[in-house]
Amino acid sequence: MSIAIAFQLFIAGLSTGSIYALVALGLALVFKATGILNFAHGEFVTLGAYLGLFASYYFGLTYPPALLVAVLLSALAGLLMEWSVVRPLITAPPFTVVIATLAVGLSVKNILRLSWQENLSTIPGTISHAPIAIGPLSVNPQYLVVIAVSFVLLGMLGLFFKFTSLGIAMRAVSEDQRAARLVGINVELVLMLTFATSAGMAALAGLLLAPLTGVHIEMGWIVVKALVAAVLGGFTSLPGAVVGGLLLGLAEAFCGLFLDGVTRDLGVFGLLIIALLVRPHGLFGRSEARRV
Amino acid sequence: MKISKRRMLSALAAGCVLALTDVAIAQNVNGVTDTEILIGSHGPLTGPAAYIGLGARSGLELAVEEINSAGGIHGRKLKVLFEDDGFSPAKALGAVKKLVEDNKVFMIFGASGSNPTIGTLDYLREEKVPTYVSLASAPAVTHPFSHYLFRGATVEARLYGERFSEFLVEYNKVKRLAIIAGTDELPKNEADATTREMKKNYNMEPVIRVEYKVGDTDFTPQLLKIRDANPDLIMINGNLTEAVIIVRQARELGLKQPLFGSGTMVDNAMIAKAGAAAEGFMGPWFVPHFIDSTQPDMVKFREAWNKLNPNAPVGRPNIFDYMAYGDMHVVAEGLRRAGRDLTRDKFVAALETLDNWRISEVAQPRTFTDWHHVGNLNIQMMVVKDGKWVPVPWKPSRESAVLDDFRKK
Repeated sequence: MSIAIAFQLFIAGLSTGSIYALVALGLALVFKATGILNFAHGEFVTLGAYLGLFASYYFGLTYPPALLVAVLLSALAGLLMEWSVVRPLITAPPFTVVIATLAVGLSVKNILRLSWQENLSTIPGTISHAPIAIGPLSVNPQYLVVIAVSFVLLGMLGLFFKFTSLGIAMRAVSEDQRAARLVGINVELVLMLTFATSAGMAALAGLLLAPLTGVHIEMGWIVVKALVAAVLGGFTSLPGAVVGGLLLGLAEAFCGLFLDGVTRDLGVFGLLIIALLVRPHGLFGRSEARRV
Repeated sequence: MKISKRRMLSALAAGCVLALTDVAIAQNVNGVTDTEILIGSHGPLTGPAAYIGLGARSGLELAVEEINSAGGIHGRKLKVLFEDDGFSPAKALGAVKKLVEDNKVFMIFGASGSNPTIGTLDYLREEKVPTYVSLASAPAVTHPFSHYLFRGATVEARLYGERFSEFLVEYNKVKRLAIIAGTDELPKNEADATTREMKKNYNMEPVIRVEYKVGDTDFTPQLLKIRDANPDLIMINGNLTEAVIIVRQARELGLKQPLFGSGTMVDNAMIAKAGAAAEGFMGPWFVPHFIDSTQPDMVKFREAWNKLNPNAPVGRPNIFDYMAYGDMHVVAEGLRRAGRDLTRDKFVAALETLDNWRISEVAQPRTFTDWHHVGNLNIQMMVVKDGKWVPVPWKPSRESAVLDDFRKK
């Protein structure tokens, strides 16, 4: 494998991995705060992309403002979901809440299907696909946009969680809801904002993916890869979810060079199994100590 | 003359028995009553292949609406029950069993792809249900020959192989072919058939064949392997969703070779989504005129379709609308020729009398006989030129060997 090919695969893998990281981070954020695996998360990826499509077709917005509008609307949808579905069921068995989130996801998907059916659509005004030549390499600028936006966002989120009072409150709630309540944190508000942040990130992932794959009703399947990434990174670790996503994208790209389309996934999941055998709680996860 | 009460009562009784018998005869044939013929159909209405089933269902509905508005078939209206098979063989079999056993349909109109259709064929053969497959190209539909199974609009995989290999080698002068094919039934059949026919007729083999799975979103590894193999032309087999990304990524990676793809990719959405990268893209087309043709029959079809589907999304009607529409009219013609006293065997025999029959230039002509049920052997090639699909001025010179298997018997 030449260096040029390795670099080409690195860019492709990092771009795909960045999308996985965004979606995985949203998944892990909600799980850490509430203990709930949000099965609607994948459909927020789809919803975000379709809201961008709607904004561009019906209001003539170009890609950047359509992206902003779609992310904000998706965040609102996430907030609404927490308030109307998750919170009323908070005392129900965990499995009930998981099924409720699955139902929300399926409802979102089928509502979108009523209007858009299964057609492949494009958000107009996305940046040109004309590749950028870097020596022997040829790179789609959208890959670089995906990587740049993802890293900037992840960096901003890191600063947000470390230095802002809301971010610290969200971390506190994710560690221990009872203790957070005792120190005066409005736990309900924080949970709503957690779901909103998670949905907004999923929507951003969908909108970054849209110029590469088009907008279609099955975009939400990416949540399966995000789940794998979150497990690989350690479900209780936010940085772990990010690293897991990036590693998964890179593994897919490089395994694809040596294995065919069918056995590539075998290779990727084989690596995942090996990683989990060595680090059962994921790369950055930690086992919970219990008093006995 | 006064008719006695007794004779009158006897006549009345006889009349009642005759009337009931007439109804009973109709009711003894599944799916046929005095006023209705019930047809079952299945196709993907959900999932990545739903553009196939949604298109076919709308085409079917338009044809049925036209037939019923003109009075139906011998006084009976057509009614279609359409089941979603999600492009899954198991779900397709479940759908067909429900239609045959629970709904008691007269026949099955197959509006699904090869993968799901194959899952239903053994059952339908065993149950002797007349089955008209409009869209699936899998050879198993017509091989081995079954009295009850017919193939309509789409051509079978072997013909793809014959026509694709001839078009690529003789018209495009290809000596080094690269194939990137999906792992499901249609792309596998197309790629296998093309490889086989190239070997048989030209003693050539592809320089590389790589695979991808439905749902993949990045094809960099496969395209880098193809780039290393230095082909003259790249053939893409599979569905539109993945093909659009492959076409775009191929150009991004500096692959300038001509591209040729499956019939599912000959769609205005290819141009809309792949943009300039789609220029020069070639593929097969199964009806005589392209979707936006101004040929009068096509214009009439589109007007009628748009009236029935006022809020249709962009990209509709698609090829499956046209194919299913043409084939439903073929089925109707078979029902018409079978007569009022309709049975499954009479319907099958009636279909076998069709010789170069079609409803209009929206469809290719269909021919069925009592020794083969391969309705259509015509495909033409299209190319994207200046952002529009135009026909390639090429006609095959080789006669198809598809019917030879049936002749030997």
